[in-house]
Amino acid sequence: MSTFSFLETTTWQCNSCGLPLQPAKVTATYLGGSFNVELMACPQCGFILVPEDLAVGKMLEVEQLLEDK
Amino acid sequence: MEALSPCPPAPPVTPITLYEQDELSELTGGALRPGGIALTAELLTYCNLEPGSSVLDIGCGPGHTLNLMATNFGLTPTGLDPSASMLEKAAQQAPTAAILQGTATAIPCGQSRFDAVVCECVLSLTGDVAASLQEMHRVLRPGGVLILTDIYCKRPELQPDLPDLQSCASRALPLDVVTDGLAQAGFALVSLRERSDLLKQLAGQIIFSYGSLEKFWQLFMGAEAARRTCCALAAAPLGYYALVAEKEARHG
Repeated sequence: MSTFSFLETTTWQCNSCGLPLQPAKVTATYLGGSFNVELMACPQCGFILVPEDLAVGKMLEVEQLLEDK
Repeated sequence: MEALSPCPPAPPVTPITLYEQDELSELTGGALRPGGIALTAELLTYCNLEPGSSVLDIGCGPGHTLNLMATNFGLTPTGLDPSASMLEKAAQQAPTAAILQGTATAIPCGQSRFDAVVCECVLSLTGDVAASLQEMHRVLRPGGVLILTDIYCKRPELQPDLPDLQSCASRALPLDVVTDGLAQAGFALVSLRERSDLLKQLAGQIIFSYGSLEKFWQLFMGAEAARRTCCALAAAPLGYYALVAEKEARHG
């Protein structure tokens, strides 16, 4: 079982719905790949918070992986 | 510019059978290989086997392909695997399938017994590709089809030097070794698909699920061995193929 998670307590809330974000299983499509990941999302409209660690860290690692060597 | 440091030598570790690890099962929807059950369904659809056709799944693992063949395609599957624990899972997953314990190099079945043979991400693990392909050819009826998928090594001189890991990634073969072996065994190649995108997809999912490839390998080995495994895999260009071959009638 994976012990790693991008989920984190956050003070961000959905601007449109005014609701606090909750953990959600989402599918991220990136560079032609499709990945399952748990992120904080608005429980009403589904708007997803992409944390900085994911955007500039893991996405870069995946990008390097998906590029042809 | 910072100089690149070479991979450290392999420390002694206990051999690990990767496909028996629950973590890989979770990542692949139980199928334990790149592409998962969706690629299997794609290839079975392509082969258009008659309902009731007898199909041998070599290295059936926990039986997801057996279940797919019986439930979605109306086929009559038989599973073969050396692992008793995997066969136990396969019997639960596909209760109508016949289950056999054995290896690809000595298939415990008579000749011309099957209409099709499926072997997914297993061939490079069998230890003797030529003997395995000859056995697959022997148990197929003339005109029967072989569905074969596996990791391959794009540049043989850069074969990954991994710790003692029972995985197709550590024994990846050059693709021409496989195609030459097929021809020598008496198979005609019908379709060869380059599906390295599926290998990258699985590696990307590992990063999203475990934080990094190194953390994933640390589940099965020490930190140093995990670092070395990542280092070796990053340097080795690996790909994934899916092919369909036919047993030529004259060899029947």
